[in-house]
Amino acid sequence: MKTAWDDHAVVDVLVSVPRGWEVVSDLPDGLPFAARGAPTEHGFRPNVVLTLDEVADDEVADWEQSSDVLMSETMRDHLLIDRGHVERADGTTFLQRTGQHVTDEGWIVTFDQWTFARGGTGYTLTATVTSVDFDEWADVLAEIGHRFADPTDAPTDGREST
Amino acid sequence: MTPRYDRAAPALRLSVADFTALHDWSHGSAVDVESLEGLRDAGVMRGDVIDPPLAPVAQALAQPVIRQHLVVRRPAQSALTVDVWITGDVGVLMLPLPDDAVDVIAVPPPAVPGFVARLARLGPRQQVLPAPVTVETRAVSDRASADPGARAQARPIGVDVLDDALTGDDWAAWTLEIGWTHHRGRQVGEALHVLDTTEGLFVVEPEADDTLVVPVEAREVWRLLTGTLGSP
Repeated sequence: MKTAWDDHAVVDVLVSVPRGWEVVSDLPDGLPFAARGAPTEHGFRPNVVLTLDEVADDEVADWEQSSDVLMSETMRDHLLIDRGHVERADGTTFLQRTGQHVTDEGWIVTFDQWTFARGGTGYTLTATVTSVDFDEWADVLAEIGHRFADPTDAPTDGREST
Repeated sequence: MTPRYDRAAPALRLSVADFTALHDWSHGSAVDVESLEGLRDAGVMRGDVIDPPLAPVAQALAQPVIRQHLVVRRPAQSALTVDVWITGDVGVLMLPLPDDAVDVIAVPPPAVPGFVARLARLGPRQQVLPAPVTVETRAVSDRASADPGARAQARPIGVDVLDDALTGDDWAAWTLEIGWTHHRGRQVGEALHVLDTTEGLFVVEPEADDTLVVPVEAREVWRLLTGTLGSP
């Protein structure tokens, strides 16, 4: 089934989520954007979260590695499944991670995560679903990442902007 | 060995004989009194009744909705063989130990793919091969054989990346067999074959004469693993 998308301009990036996902309004300070879909049959709400960090241009590799360490040390039962850099046509390099962890509520979840740094800011978009639903959601998550990482290359049909 | 039972987990460390007795008892098979003594001493059985936290484990052993069988082979190492029984309530993993012992671990069903991934050491890999290739089944099975003799005499696969990847001891070949029991008792199954090498991860789809070797990212293998919890 073809997914329709809602585009959200946040800070100076574009975050696309499947149409109808609820944008979370009561976010804590420092968290610029989050959105979530309807509960799946298991009750978990697929979601995306955008976070920002201060990252100097010459500290990107350190930032990436310290994030790896932070995730492995703070996420319960963290399992890094995949990690690799993707280079865009314009030379921007993204880091993509896939992993599993257990949430504070006990959900066993898989996340896809895309990060890049630009102009002193590090952007991290994390999309999360339950691991039992990952096979079903994998293509949608990949598309969320593709649209975040390379919006100029993403299809423009079926999109609405906010 | 002395059986060990962690009631909170629940988790067991048993001799193979004690596990066999538990397995047979779970199936309702006639089990002689003596073979249950070790399980009673460990608190696994109370008389002829299984300790309540283990009831879902016995149910899974007897009537799994999904059965999985993982074999991980690495050169110069013994094969790792893990059996898994899954119901809607629990995933039961049996891991072999030295000296004819086994660990039996009960986990939530969604945790099973993570355990399999850790046992197979699934993780990020660089991918060198740009596209799938079809190779001779015999050549790839010999090069990735558990038998060092077969590996030594194996002819080249004919794809440099694969021949390089399967040279030396820095690779693994693992297979996850999955069987589903449908509500009418019909059994269906499939198998996931993976080559894990310094030249990348490959999903291997063997046929009689030819084998398709597909370079994949670890994320794709993870997707296949998580997909095993659903219907075939």
